[in-house]
Parts: sequence; structure tokens; C-alpha cells
Amino acid sequence: MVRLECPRCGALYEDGRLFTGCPRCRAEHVPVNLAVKVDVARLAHLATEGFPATPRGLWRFRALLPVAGERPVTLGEGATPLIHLERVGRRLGLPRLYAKDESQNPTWSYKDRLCAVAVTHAVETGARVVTIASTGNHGASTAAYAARAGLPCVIFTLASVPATMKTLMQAYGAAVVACPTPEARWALMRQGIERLGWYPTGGFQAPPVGSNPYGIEGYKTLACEIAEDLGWRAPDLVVVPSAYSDGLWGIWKGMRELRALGLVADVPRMVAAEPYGPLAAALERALETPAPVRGEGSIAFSIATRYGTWQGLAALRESRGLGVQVTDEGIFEAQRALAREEGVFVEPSSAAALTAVMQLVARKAVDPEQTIVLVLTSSGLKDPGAPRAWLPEVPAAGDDFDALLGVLRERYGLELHG
Amino acid sequence: MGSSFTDSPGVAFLGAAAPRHVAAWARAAERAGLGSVWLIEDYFYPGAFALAGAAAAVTERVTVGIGVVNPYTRHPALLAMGLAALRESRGLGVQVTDEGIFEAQRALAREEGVFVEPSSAAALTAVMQLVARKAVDPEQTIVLVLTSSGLKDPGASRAWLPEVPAAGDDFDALLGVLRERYGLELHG
Repeated sequence: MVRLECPRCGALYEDGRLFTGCPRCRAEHVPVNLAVKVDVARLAHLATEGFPATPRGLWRFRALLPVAGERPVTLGEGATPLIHLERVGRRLGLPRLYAKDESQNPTWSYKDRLCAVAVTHAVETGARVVTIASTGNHGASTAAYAARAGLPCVIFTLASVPATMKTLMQAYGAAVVACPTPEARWALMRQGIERLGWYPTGGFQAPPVGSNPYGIEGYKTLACEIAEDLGWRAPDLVVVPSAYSDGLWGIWKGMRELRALGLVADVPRMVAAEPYGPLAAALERALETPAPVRGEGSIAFSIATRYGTWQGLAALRESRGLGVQVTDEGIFEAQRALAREEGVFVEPSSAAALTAVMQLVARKAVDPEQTIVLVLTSSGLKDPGAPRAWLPEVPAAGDDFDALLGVLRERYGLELHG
Repeated sequence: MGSSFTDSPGVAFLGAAAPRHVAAWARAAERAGLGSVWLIEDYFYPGAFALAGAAAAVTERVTVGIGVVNPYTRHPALLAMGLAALRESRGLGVQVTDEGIFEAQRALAREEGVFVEPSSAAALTAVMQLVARKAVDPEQTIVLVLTSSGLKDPGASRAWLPEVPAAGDDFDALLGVLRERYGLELHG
């Protein structure tokens, strides 16, 4: 029996379909997501060698997941590379800077870890329809895993949905419908869930409480893979682009469980990269729960939210971490550096993780000896229009080779003759 | 290996130079429109079975034949083994249409959750055609190499994707939209 636990008040629940957070805390006007209660004593026998080598990816760690997983709904998610950012790291004076490249997942974002587990849970609990309110990666991933499971998928989006995301969701066969406002989407979605038993992979209430707690357990596998790739050691810092902090919280929960099981000695400090900075503001103002902040548009549309969540703030507090507010200009600089200096092309929201580190370096707030892992959450192909802000027109090559050398010198600063 | 080798002129290769040139000659014969390629087996010539395998590997259409095999010096089991290998060693080229590619791209995305670019979906299109021609044995293990992501060309799939409809004002209106626009019957 999988139980859900409130990370704030400790209440335990046996209702498998509590997708709207802790009822008790909500009554106190504090929205808190529930989390799967993991029985550490039952897992105490686990050793690092206990995770099988195959199948590659997320399902190696099924002992830590809240599903039986005998027939997982999978597209080969997980097992993404931990890339040593030597060139950018050298420039920043950080010799142990790494990127966990989550753009190499089946739908090119880390949401696949959440959706693989959530949709497997949906199938195991007899759900017949999957639903989500999304304008982006979460919707695309939900649509793909619903397709994989052979379940219908209803996605509530906004008219402003980016064309690439709309194409992805519909290509996977989801029934995509547009609502005028986020609140309107959540109201309709809630009725599908309450009246017809639709299974949600994401949240649907205001103020936001976070995503499906079973799916969030999938993010724990990020902690496992990062620790394993570092020789079963936690890094000093893990930097995660954050909106409602599902990923940040899931990674933190995973690290804590690995420590409780004795599989790592320490836990990392968690850093949230956020365009509007609700978590940074809440830490600064010593709030118990994040308050909405101002926000006037960001290139990082996947994470641009005025709201933080209680558990996101808790992860920062418990880990002695911090929130870093990032600007569009800083995001472009980081996106460009990752692509040009490391060959890793990610969406602006993902690049925000490096932007946060660049800011911490400028503030002398990181120790150069620390091991730092950036979670690069999604592919640059999701929003290919964004980098056009910093990309030149393609010039003509010129009529002969000497003209070409001139073009390369003038337009690209390349001195290539003899 | 069809039975149509008498329908059009063919060409026979023999002699010590055959192994070095068999692939190029077989391809040239196919391009020239010849119907069959023959590998002659006789004492002290290079073995015809190996040459036939090389010819079959680089051609798609032309019939490859062995003329002739001595049944007294080659054990029947070896003969059967050689022919079995040759029958399976012939690759195929399958021409695919845009329509077939869209069908395959849609099937991979909707039925499997795998979104690839049209060029990649062409691999499934080819298999669909082979199935329609009954040219594949259902017991075979088949691997499609899906070469690249659908995100490289998201515009291409818009050809088979609908507009996003408005959700409707209330839940009953939503169920109507899902039924009419997506064929989903989700009530009760």
C-alpha cells in the first residue's frame, strides 16, 4: 500500500487519488503537495549494486518508485549523460562543473521521468483517460506516454501555446483543447478528474500546489543517476530551473532517501533558478510559504511563474540552498555558452541553471572546489526561435575561396588563411 | 530470387577476375536493365555461392542465379544451406511516398509515443509496403533505424494535425468538443 505524506504537517493519507495537496494544510491556507511515503526500513537492504544494470534508464531504480513496474510504460527515459563542462567551467574558475543533459530523454525533456512513472501508476490503478493542463514540455510528455500506454489523453492548453509544443502534443494523438485562462483550464480539468475519474499528471488548482506526487517520484532517479555517475557521491550543489519545483523537490527527496539508505554520505545544497524569483524572495523575507511576486514576461516560458510552492521552498531551506533570479540577458548568455563552448543546445529555461551559477560566481558565492551539477531540463529545439535573438543571418559564401576566407573573417571573426 | 529470369537478357560472370569485380558488375548489370546475373561454378573457378552473395547484397531487383551446381560433389545439405543464406541475404530498396511517410509518422507518434522526422518515418513506411506485398515473414525480427527527431521539422506534421479547438464554456460543452473534433466518447 503506497501512502502519501504531507512534508509540512506529517499527516498520512491512504487515498490514492489525492492530487490537490494536503487537505489539512489547505484548511490553514497553506498549499502543500503530498509526497509518497518511502519506507526506508523496508529498503535498508538496498546496496548500490542492488540496482540492476538493465534495462538502462529510469526503471533500474524501480525499488525506489511507487509502482509495481512489472510492465512499465516506458520509452527508454533516463540514463542521460552527465557532461563535464570543461570549457565553460575553466572560464568561470569551476573545474568540477557538470551538466545533466535531460534533453536526451524521449520527448526531449526531464518531464519524461515524471510521466513514465505517473502514466505507469495510471495504468496500474485502472485509469482510462489521462489529462494535463499545459502549454509545454509536461503536456508533450504526457501525450507521448499516454500514446505509449494506449490511453486517451485530454490536454487543456491556452491559445498562446507555442506552435512546436502544440504540434508535439497533437502528433502524439492527444485531444488538445484551448481555454481562455489558466483558471478556466483547471476548472474543466478538475471536473474530468472528479466526475469521470480522469488521471492527472499535473496540478489543477490555484494557487498552484505542484504535480502528481507519484510522478514526482520519477525525479528521484535524477538523484540516483547523478550520484552514481559521481561514484556514489552527492555533488555539492544541484542547480534546477524551477517553477513549481516538482523537479527540485523530487531530486532533493531522492538525495535524502539515498542518504537515509546509506548510499551517499552527504546531500547537496539545492539551487533554484527562477525568472521572477518567488523562492529567492521568500527566503530573503523569511516567509513560511512563498508569496506571489511580480513578473513581466520572460524568455524562459517553461518556468516563468509568479508563484513558488511550499515544498520548493522547503527543499531550499532544508538543504541550506538558495533561489537565484535570472534575467533574459543572462539566460541568452548561458544558452550561447552551452551551445558554442560545449555543444549542448538547450531551451532558455534550461540555460537558466547556468545563468544562476554565473551569477553566484560573480557574487563570489561558490567555492571553486565544489562539484556543481546543472540540470538541463529540455532541448533547444523546443523553442528554436529564442536563440535568433543572438544569431546572425547566414552570409553568402563568396565567389571563390579567397572571398570565402574574407567572409569568414569579417562575419565570424575567423582567421583561417594558411 | 524470382522465376522471371527468362523474361529479359542476363549476363554470366566467370573467370579469376570475378571475385574482384562481381559487386560492380552486378550493379552495372542491374542499372543497364538486364534481368539476371549468373555466377558460373566449375572446377578451379572461384566458388559461385560466395559470388552470388556479394551480387545479391549490392542489388535490389536483378535475379541472381547459379549456373550450374554439380550435385555430385556438393552435399545436398550444403546446397540447401547455401541457398537458404542467399535467399535471406538480398536487401531491398523500397520507394516511399509522402502519403505513406505521413501515415508512418502518425502511427509512430500516436500508437507508440515516438515522434520522428519524416525521413525517419520512411523506415516504417517501407515495412508497411513490404507487409502489403506479403514480402516479410511475420516471424522475423525487424529493426527500424529512426534517424532523427520530429522536432527537426515540426512544420511537416502540421499537414495531418487539426487546429486546436476551444474547450467550450462548461464540462458538457467540452465533452461535445472532444467527441466531435477528436472522436472521443468520454462521458460516464
